[in-house]
Amino acid sequence: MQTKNYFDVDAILAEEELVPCQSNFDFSYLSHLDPDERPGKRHYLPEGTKFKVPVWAVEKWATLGFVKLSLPRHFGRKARERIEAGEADIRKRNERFFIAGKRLGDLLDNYTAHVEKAWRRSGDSDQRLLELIKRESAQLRRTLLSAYTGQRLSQTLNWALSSVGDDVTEYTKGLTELERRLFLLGATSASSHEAWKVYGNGRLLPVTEHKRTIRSVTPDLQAPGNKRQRIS
Amino acid sequence: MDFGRYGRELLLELKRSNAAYNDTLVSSCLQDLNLHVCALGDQVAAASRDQHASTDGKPKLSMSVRPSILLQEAAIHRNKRCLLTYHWVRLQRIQKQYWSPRQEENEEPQQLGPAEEDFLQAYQQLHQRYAQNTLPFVDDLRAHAGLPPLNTERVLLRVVTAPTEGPVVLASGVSVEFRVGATHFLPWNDVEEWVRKGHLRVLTGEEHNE
Repeated sequence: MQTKNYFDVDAILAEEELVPCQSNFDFSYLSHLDPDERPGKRHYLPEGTKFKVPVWAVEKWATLGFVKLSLPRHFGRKARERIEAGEADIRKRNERFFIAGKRLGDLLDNYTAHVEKAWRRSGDSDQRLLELIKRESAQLRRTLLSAYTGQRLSQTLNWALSSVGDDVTEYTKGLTELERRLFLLGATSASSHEAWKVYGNGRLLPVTEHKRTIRSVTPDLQAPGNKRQRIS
Repeated sequence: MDFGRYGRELLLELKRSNAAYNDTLVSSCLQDLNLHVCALGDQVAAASRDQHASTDGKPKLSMSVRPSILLQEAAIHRNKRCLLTYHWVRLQRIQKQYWSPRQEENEEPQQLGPAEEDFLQAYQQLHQRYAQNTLPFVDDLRAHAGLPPLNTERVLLRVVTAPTEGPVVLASGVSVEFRVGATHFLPWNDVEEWVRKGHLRVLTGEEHNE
């Protein structure tokens, strides 16, 4: 399913996911991002402050190495273990869990790629931190894949294709937005198939007016090997 | 100035309902965008002044001001994307309303603002002009969009197997006797169940000429 469309509403809303980060130096004019900041005390965000910003806001900072990133709690290691065990209500954690999770994985990969390049040029290095982030990103992707393509996918497809005319509210209320889109596509296909069986079950016949035109040309029809004769 | 709040609310409203065009929220989002543009301009101007002040041969923006400048730019793009998406999705719904005028069961009809009503009218006129100029035998392009018949419409049918024995009076008051191979022109409401069961078959134009 296409999620890189500029006008994809779910992809835009998924970027509202708050990412925990830590500033690497003083940020001017951004004291209001500090959750513990008293208004009017400072006009800058001090180095080392921990705060949360949406994915769309932190992307550029991450690629330039302005902040250190980490995963939100419900995408962290313990949450992933619960998801893989099937014990978590995924929709309750985030209605766009899979889209947001993929977006976070891309963010972390971009972050590590750009920071590694910059550190190689400058000679600085914190390989341990980068390896940790790469591992987290890979594990997150594995969890997303196994959660999406496991039992949930087979149940969704089963319900979508076999519940024409039924009330599916009870089932769909537990699905994330991406799964609901898949469900809707399947249900629409099943309904269209039912409609085709009712309205579109006629045979295709050759156009009769064309036949009449051929029959009216009598002299040519008698000539052997004539294409028109073969058609009639 | 609230980073992306109005844009988010616009999109959440789109997902929640088919409510009318929210002029207030769109105006708030535009105002927010303009505030970010002004803030960005002020910060860049202030940073440029500091840059000139520190003459060391290579003017550079101070590191501490760059995150804020980037954040303002991201917020501007964010608001722009939310506004464009809001209008794009509403336009898609209006066009869908033209092509599929009958609503699905339990589906809320899309409420239109005055400008959207004008757009729908202009869209209809555009399609009618196209049909008249290029397809003279077509009155309405939508008639060829593969729509199923309305309940009150009559459809042409051929009897595959007789669903009843002898003459029968249908719900609409029409009296008919089904014989295998016979063709009838009956209200869809009366015959839908027999069509679904396979006793009757809806005919297309080509079959009628068979």
